[in-house]
Amino acid sequence: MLKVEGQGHAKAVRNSQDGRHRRASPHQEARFGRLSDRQWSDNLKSMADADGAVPSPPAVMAAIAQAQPQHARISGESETSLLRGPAARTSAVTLDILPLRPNGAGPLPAMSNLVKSLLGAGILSVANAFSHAGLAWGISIYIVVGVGVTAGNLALISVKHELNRRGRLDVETFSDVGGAVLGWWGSFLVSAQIVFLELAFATGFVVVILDQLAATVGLSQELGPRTLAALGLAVPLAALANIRWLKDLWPVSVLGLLVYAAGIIGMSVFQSAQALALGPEPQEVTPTLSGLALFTGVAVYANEGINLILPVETSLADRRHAYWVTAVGMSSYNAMCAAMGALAFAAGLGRCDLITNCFADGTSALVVQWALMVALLATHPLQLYPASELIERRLGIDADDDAGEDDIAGHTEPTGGPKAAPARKGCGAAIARVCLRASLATCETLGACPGGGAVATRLCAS
Amino acid sequence: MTREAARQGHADASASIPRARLAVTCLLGALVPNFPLLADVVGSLVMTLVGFVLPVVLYVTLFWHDMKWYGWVLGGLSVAFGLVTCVFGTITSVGALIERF
Repeated sequence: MLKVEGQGHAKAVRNSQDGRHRRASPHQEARFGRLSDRQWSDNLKSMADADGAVPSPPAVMAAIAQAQPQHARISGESETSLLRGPAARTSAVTLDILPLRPNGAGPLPAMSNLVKSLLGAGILSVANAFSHAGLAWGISIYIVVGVGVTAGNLALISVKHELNRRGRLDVETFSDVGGAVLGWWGSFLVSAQIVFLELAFATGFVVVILDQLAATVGLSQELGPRTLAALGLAVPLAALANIRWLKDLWPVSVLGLLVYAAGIIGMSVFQSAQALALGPEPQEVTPTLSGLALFTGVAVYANEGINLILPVETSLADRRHAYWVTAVGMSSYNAMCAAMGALAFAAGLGRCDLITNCFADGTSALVVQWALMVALLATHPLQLYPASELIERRLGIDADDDAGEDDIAGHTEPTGGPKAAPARKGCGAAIARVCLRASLATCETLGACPGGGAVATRLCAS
Repeated sequence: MTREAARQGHADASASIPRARLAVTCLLGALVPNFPLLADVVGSLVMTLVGFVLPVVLYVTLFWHDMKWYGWVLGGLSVAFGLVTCVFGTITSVGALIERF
């Protein structure tokens, strides 16, 4: 049962259990926010007592108002203005009482996880993209893309922090942010793009594997053989997809990291340096508008972990570090990609669709190509988990306890990556929100939530 | 329907979604002639919106009260860049994709 201290509590509970719902006054609604029936229903489900009796929204508001009028920290704002009004008058909750993660990651491990999540198949075609735009235009566009995407993600983090400040502690993922600011459509839009992108990335894995098969065993590029090969790939992929604990296998992630860091980037730089030492001139390119557009698409695609910024932010012990961690991590990654692509293009490695197909040394190139195929096969199911789980949640299928968009980070980064927002189910989010809106009337309830103890302790002490 | 049967139904539905998505990715993978084209289409169509437009829209919706003029200018530039790249890049890359067929 909702624990609201004070004389109004028992009365409100009786009213709610009797089915006589007291209508909250306009003043109370203005003071404590106006939630939709659905929101109240969702919030209150987690506050039902052992008998399953759920207090009605007006009764809860009335109880809160009578119990804690002197401690109200959120004042004068309706739900709408709570989200859209000026920050100064909304809440006493600040980042000083966050983080919620005493065992969270430090800045450097979080930055490392961020860079790992950004690293993906997109870097394979950056050198080829330079052959559409040329060196000067390519580097210029890469700078614009890098700065723009980084700034966009910093804006996203500040939006999330602001929502947290205003009492929306349940907001943790991109989808949550979209829903909190733009409502149902925002949540749907963000979820849809997550599903689409995960599907596209997984499709990209298949395309790369088929291209590598063409380069290594001479698979025909005709539609028929490619389709047959793709159907053949579906067998091991389906088998791997049934291993739900695959996400916990750290060797899978280590393999992927080794292939990208040592195999792709290391080999590219090494071979580019070797080729440039012989003195070839960079290929002359006359950029066209369509070429520049193609380059921009590839440059943006190379930031594959763009949806994982908020899980990485959530994994931080001190979320105030999120801004510089994101800025430095994303800038470094984009600078590294641009440098690698430009170097490889200058060395003549941009003529192949995938940079691995241009590696000169036969044996080591073969090793990298096969390792890349194995890594992509192993990580393909992981790429599909988050999107599948989002669809399951949207369809109301709750078969997996681990389901949740929060798992995106965990699935993508099994090696101790940003395990964002663990174990909030059935407790923290809704209660934390109501508790904070009600001036922590129920500190002990909040303290019972995973990660809620620190907030409860500090707020109750104050 | 018993609870066990309902649970089984949910489990079946839950298992069928990844399988369906797996089949879709394999078939799409066979249809796409090379990786840079896929990267172009996806990067232009969706990731420009995710990277340049959506964060700015969310930020402006929340902070429009307190934004300075340069915030509006930078936000406008980001949205304009994202939209132009999305529209023009998608047309170009889809055209190139069709051409490769």
